[in-house]
Amino acid sequence: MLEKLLDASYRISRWCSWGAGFLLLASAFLVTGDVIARKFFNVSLAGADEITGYCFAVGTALSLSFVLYKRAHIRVDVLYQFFSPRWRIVSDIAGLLLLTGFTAMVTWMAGGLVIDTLTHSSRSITPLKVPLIFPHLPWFIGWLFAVYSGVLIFFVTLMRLYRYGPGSASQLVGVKTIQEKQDAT
Amino acid sequence: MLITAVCLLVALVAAAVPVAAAMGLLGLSLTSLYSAMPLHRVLGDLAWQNGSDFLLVAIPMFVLLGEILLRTGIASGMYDGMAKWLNWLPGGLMHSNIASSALFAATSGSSVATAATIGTVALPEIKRRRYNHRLFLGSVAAGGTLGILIPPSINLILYGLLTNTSVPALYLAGFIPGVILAMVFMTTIMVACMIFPSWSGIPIKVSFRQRLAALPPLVPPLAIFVAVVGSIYAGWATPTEAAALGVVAALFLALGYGKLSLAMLRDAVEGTMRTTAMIILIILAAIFLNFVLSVIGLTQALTDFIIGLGLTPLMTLLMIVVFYLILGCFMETLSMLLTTAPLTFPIIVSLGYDPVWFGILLMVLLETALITPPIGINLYVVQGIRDKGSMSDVIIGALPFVFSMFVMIAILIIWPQTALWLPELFY
Repeated sequence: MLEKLLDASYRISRWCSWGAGFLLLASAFLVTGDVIARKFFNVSLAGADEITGYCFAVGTALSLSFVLYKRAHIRVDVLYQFFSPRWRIVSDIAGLLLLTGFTAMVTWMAGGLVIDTLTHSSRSITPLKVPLIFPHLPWFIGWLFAVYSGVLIFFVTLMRLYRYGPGSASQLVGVKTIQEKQDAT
Repeated sequence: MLITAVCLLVALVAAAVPVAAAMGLLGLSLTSLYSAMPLHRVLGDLAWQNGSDFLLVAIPMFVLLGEILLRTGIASGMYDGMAKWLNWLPGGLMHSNIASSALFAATSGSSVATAATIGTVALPEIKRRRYNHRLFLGSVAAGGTLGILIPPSINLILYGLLTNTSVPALYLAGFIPGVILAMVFMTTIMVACMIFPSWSGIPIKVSFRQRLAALPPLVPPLAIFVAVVGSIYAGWATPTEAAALGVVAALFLALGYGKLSLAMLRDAVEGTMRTTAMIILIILAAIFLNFVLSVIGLTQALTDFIIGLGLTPLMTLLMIVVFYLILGCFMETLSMLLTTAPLTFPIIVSLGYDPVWFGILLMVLLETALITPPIGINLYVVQGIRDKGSMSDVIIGALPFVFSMFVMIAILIIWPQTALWLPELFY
């Protein structure tokens, strides 16, 4: 059951990162349009930078969980290479928990920000006067989904460890081998 | 306080805790140990402010630009063109490794992407043309490092962000040292091949007409460079805007090469968002940590301590250089930049050195870190493409280029104008 949930969450996370990426592509066109309009027609699309900033914040937040599923976080593995498989999985799980803990702390504080935005109906202090809840809410959901993913990966790792041993568990949380890193680039 | 902080960071990093978590947790621990104020409350604001910072949008844009260019296949034409023009030099294709890396670096902000792109095209030539495989591998690993020095560079943006230094000025400053370093690399290859002629492989024979025919593939990367870096130098666009221009230009290029498809775009954006989200979390942790360090007074304490040693500015500078060279053997460059720059920068500036110049020196130090064992990402990248043989071949092959980088560090220290002349001309 947990494995199925993991699979589904991974797929959602991947879709989110695609969505975020296409948002980024769209921003590239918006900003390019702004530069060209400003340079050659002397008109400025006011707020292109602001909108792009929002897209960026939302996009990265929605992609945070994908980094976890892809094990793409940088870890310094000078000593790790010398650990036994048992100690490696201890380091993997501790690393995952600490990372999720830090993400949860940020998410908690981000939640406070979102509640403030809601209670004050805050708008951006720019000509666009964007109601900030529009970018804040999906941004917060991205962070929340990253925390959820961290917790989920933790439980699936424990389950795999119990059922199949460290080999299967480290496929979820271990440091990538050179070959895996290469496939990723 | 300093000792506690260092011990904690070393322990977390050595236990292979993800770097973002290590820095964030260090910040949180130092807050609870040494601060009367609940500093962790700024995390939400920091995450939003930096997460939506228009300057930082340049990072995903440059990553995306690289991902698209990688998939257009312009690298092989570029490599072939360089090979035909540089075939007369002793060392043949190895010069092409450096020159096409430099050219690719001028369109890409990442050293790993540069080494991976050029490596994939270059490595099959070792056997075909019987090169000394070690030096050849080393030249690919070293050439790739140019990615972060020659603008556009993602690392220079991060340095600019952390130290409040103008990114356009840094981009201007990186250009000449980048070209010089590429030439120092090529000189290294030439000298090595003159001492050991058997290393230089079977030269390719080309006519002048063939050379001319090899020119057109060199145009697209140059065009992207002109669009991206030119628009920054000319003052038309900020680095982020320039990166967006580059992305759009690369898309048209992909269209021209017949490589544009939905599947290709999906792969490109997937890679981009994975890298971006990873980097942004580290940046957030680093910014939070630096905030904590300055509030609890640790940054000042460290600066006072170093100044109090009573060393001359040059000795202090050399000490910092050695510190980076040692740290670079063990740490990945991005995390190294983000953890250390906020600490070394105030020391350097208080000694009277130029912030822009130090940014460039730091990039060369980070480049060295990319090819010094045991942790040198470019060594892994090259070994990964090669897929067989011993890792030590790459390490030994990269060694002469580590010395080339020492030469570059010396050049920058003795003649700071190599970096500062161009930005001073513009500003």
